[in-house]
Amino acid sequence: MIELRGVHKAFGDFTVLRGVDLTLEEGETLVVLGRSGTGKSVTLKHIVGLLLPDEGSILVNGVDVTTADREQLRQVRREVAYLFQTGALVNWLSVRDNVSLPLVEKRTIPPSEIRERVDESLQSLGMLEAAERMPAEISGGMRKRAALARVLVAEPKAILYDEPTAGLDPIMARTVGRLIRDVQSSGERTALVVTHDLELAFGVATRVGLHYKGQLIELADPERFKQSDHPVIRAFLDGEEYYEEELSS
Amino acid sequence: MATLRDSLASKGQAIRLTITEAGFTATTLIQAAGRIIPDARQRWRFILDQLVVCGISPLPVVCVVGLFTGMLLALQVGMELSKLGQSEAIANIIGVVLFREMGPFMTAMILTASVGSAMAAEIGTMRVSEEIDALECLTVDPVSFLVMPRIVAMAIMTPLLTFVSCVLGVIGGGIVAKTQLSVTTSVYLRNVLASLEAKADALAPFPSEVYTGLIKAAVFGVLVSSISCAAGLKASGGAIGVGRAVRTAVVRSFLMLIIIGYYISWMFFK
Repeated sequence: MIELRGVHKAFGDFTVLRGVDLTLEEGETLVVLGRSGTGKSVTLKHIVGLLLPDEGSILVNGVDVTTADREQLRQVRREVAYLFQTGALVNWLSVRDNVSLPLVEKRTIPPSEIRERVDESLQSLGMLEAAERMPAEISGGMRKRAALARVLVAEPKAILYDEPTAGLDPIMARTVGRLIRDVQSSGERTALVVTHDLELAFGVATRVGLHYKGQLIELADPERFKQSDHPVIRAFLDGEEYYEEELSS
Repeated sequence: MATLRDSLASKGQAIRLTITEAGFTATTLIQAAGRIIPDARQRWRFILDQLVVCGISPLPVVCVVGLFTGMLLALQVGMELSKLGQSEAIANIIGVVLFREMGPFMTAMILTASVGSAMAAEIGTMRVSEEIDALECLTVDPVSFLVMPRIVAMAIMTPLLTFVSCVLGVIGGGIVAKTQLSVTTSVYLRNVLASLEAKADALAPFPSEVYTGLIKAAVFGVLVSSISCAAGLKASGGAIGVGRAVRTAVVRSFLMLIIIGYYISWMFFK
């Protein structure tokens, strides 16, 4: 469904991606682990066309995002939703208006149906009672749930989760992990999760990879990943610093 | 030699950046204009909100500045005219200066400082906190959603506020003319209207010069809002980036008001 081939990206002199290759099959949940600042979120942003690579190609259901026209890009974004790390709710719209936004913008859905679908989405995430509140009036965990409701209401085929548990307390992090599992199992959706939260990763993944120095190393099922001999993976799983300067191929 | 080359290179880069950003502002304005007819009905609530923000919030400041601008003008120029025995001419000067230049310009300056800076800050904050990226991912066009309602509101409210400012300026000038320069109210008003080449009729109830001032004000409103929104959309780098966007918006708006204001006057009154 999603395929990245040799994606390179640099911001000025700082190279973030050095030839990322990744294939995401329909229905699977791929978790990309990695330390902060290794380019995990940059990879996600390339998939929905928020960033363009310096080199390489990105295919989403056969559409090359790097050369897609406006309408093709809109289609890609309808199929692949992005859950931002902070939730990125529009701060001057209520939770309900935020969740309604993707449906209202389609301009073909009657208001009664929009209300019904929004209520359903908010209810499924336990956010219905906070529907009329503003994003500034709710907690970080609630903002994330509201953002997930906004993503789910549009019924995308795939969801990109950007650090879904970052900044949350352990209880809320587990709740979000459970929500992701529920979402994946209920809708048979494809998911790409980037995180450095190991508990979340091994709780939701069907495959796990590690982002290191602008490349994706060792994509494997969770059990094989845990037993990997790769020194970078071992260091990451053990929570230790890895000092080797150059990544060996 | 290397220093000179570096200096020239950095100047060249600055010029290129300015041209690129001017192009971005123009593109944003054109895109927003293109979204008015298809999207205005859908966005009526946002347009209404912006009409309040652009029109009602700055009204007290516009009123005070308008009134005192007229009073100051009458006092300073009136004292010089009275030395020449031409006190009554103050009305002609007030009418022409306020409706042609000072009214639209002062109002646009106030709106730049109060509304334009807020637009750049709001949109800039949305940019750096990924809200605009999120809108794009939801297939919501940020120009239609954020920029178009602001430009429409400023195009409507700037002329209205300018008119209020000019009327209050004329009233302020009249108060000073009567109390300090001994010009009677009837003579003052007759001379103000005469200065505006009054050709009022049923179709155009105000003198023609009022309209030129209002057209100028509408252009100023569009300029300030498009420059401010474009600066916000280009913001990057957290809180510092938002601050930079606000400064850019205010400085560029002031410069463009002066430059474009001159050419509009040149077109109408050459």
